[in-house]
Amino acid sequence: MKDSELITSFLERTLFNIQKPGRYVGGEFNQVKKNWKDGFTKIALAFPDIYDIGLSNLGLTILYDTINKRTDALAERVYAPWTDMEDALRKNRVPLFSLESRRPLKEFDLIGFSIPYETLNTNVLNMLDLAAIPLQSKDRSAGDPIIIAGGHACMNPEPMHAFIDLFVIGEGEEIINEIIDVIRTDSNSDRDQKISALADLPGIYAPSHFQISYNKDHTLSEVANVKNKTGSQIKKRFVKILPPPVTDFLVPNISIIHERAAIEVMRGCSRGCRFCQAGMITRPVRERPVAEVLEAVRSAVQKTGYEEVSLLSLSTSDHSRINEILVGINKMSSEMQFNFSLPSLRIESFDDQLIETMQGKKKGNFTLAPEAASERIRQSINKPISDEDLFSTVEKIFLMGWKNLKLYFMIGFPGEEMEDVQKIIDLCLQVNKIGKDILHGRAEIHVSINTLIPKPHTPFQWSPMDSKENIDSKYRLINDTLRKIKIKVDWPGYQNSLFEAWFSRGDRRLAKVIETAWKKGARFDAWQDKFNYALWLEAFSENGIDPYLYSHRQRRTDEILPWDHINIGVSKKFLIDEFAKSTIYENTSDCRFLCHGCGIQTEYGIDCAEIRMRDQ
Amino acid sequence: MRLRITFQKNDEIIFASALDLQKIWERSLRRAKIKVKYSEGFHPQPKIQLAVPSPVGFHGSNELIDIWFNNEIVKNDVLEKLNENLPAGLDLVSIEEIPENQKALNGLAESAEYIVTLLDGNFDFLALQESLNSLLDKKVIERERNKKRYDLRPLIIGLNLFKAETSNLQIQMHLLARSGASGRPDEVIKELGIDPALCKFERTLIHFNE
Repeated sequence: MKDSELITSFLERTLFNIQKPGRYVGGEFNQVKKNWKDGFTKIALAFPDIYDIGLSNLGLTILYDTINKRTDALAERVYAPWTDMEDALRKNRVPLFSLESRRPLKEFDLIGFSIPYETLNTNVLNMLDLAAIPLQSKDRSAGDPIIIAGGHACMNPEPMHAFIDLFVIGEGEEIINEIIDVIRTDSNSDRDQKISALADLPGIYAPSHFQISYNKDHTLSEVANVKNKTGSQIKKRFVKILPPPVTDFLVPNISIIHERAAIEVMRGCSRGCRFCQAGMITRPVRERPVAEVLEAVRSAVQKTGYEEVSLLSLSTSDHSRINEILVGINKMSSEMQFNFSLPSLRIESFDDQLIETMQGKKKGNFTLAPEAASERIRQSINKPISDEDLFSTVEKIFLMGWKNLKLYFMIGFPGEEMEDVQKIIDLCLQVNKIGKDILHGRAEIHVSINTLIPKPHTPFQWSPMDSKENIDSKYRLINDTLRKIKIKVDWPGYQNSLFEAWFSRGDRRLAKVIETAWKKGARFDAWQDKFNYALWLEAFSENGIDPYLYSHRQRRTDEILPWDHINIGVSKKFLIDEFAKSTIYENTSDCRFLCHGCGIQTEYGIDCAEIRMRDQ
Repeated sequence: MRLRITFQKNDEIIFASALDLQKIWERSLRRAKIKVKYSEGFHPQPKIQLAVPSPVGFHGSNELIDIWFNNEIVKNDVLEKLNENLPAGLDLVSIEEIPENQKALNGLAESAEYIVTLLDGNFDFLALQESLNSLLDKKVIERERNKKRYDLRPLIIGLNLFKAETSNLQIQMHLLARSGASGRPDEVIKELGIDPALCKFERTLIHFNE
């Protein structure tokens, strides 16, 4: 029997006892299944979380579309199997396989993992193991596929360096065709030669080509490119002109988390909030033209039959022609009978026209993210909204008929005091009062509190994370007060944030911790009921590593950071200046209107204003 | 106007639940640009109705769906457009117009026929025939499902054993399919001491009270 027949026979005999078997069979409308031809370059696109979450991942959707448009390559998909399926695969010794052709992952030329957040790291290891591919890059041999990873978590690739042959730094759609071309040109070369050839592409980071040395005090002493071909810095890649959005989304046959057509209206954000990694690493801002967005919405609804469209970006209301987009979509949505949602609206950008277009929509939750409540902290994190703007927006939201309002805040900012936290409470009480007054008591306020994780490539990257004692007392103050008046408070817990801090801010020494934890059974660390904090502490201690050196050490601005050789186009000088400004509560204005010299223009020789808008 | 479509359900689609299948039809109709009637009220829903849900994992060769339309619509047009827009695994068999106000399919269902294929060949025909006979001879077959005890016997109308062309054994089952009194073929299989994971289930026909 061929492998794919064996896998089909396994599925026939197994799926009856598996939860949501539809996760493992593919067959979605718009799925592309090409003939498994010898000459094709075969790529498995892997998402290290379950199907329900991975299917709608926009990055992989774009890559799937781009690769399958080629006549000499194919892309198939694979997601992390849930624990029941993992057990069945292991028990029956069936290797992890792709959904489309049901081929073992080992038969692909290349496996591309998307790693958007650090809590998926152990799932990457687990998927490699289930595919019978050696976990560590150095142990792989000629017959193994090349393992590539990309996504926001890879902007600090070091903790995963041992398991990934090559990282894509930046936007995968900009480089995927070059990767395939290189693999095809060198069809006679061996695996190592191919990896070397790929490493020569700008934006590709081959960890094996870099050597890291350490000082006695735990800091890095040197980062050296031992092959010395591409230099000591890997500069991110990005698409200068966004191509028209993908519209033939895969439509699942079973229920998943996001069942909707997601149209990206804009990439990047010009606000420069100092805690926001996405805002720093996705520069420059690129808006899609109005006509292109509207055409994409129409096409997506027609091609998928979805009843919901979501407009995506970091800050949708900052699109310079958002009103035209909304008017257009509003018209289409009544003609074609679909709903649309707008996550990521800025509080101060609610003009009357925007509200007008949202009139009469289905009223679900409305979400606002003030992040901080005191004037001081707002200046310090560079999100300088005013209370008046906030209250007037809230008023409009309730007057329009929304009953559920969700407010996002963070605690643990550098320099934060209890009085700043008290302001969060005061603000929630005020919003609650506005809601109750307007809706005669029927307003529901939901508050979400997160702990700041000072992320790499942000002005706060040198700062320690706030201590458990501080965070606990801050959270308790908020929770105790708000619960009394029946405002719900969401809180992921300190341990989850701590975990994220360790692995987002880590260096190469964490690779063995990840491997140890995986061996001990760590999986699905993003899942509250699967995350095992004690297991991770054991993994650290067995490897003789103090995790707090990663999360709680104040770093010096002149030390080499583990991610310094990853160049996101924003200069270190800018980040240092921004940090300095945060300590004196000084605001940096929206860079659409005034360039503050973050470095992206000079680094790439571009003009942000030109790149941002193509509509004139 | 109300149309009744007979369709087959195979391949990956068998893992869609009844609710999933409803959404699959709604989205296929929307892709096909076939304008269906919407229910009235706060959250208008497309007016389509699937007959008698079958368990996840079951194939179906004569499944039914009713669809309501505001306007008169050409039947062949519906077939043609839908064919292009249904996901793999859903195949149209036939289409007929029925009176708008006829009772709902679910309320009319009486019984259903199934073919259960035993995937692995190590069953002895005569021994299995013997098990079937003794099952049918029982007055009461007490079983438990979802923590509720019930009697399976009155839900069984008939059981027949035969050998398929592939030489696999198949059991043809005729079970009640009334709402509130519906037999599940996998329960019969379990009662026979066979692992349902090693069977292929197919619903071949639903009988209705006219």
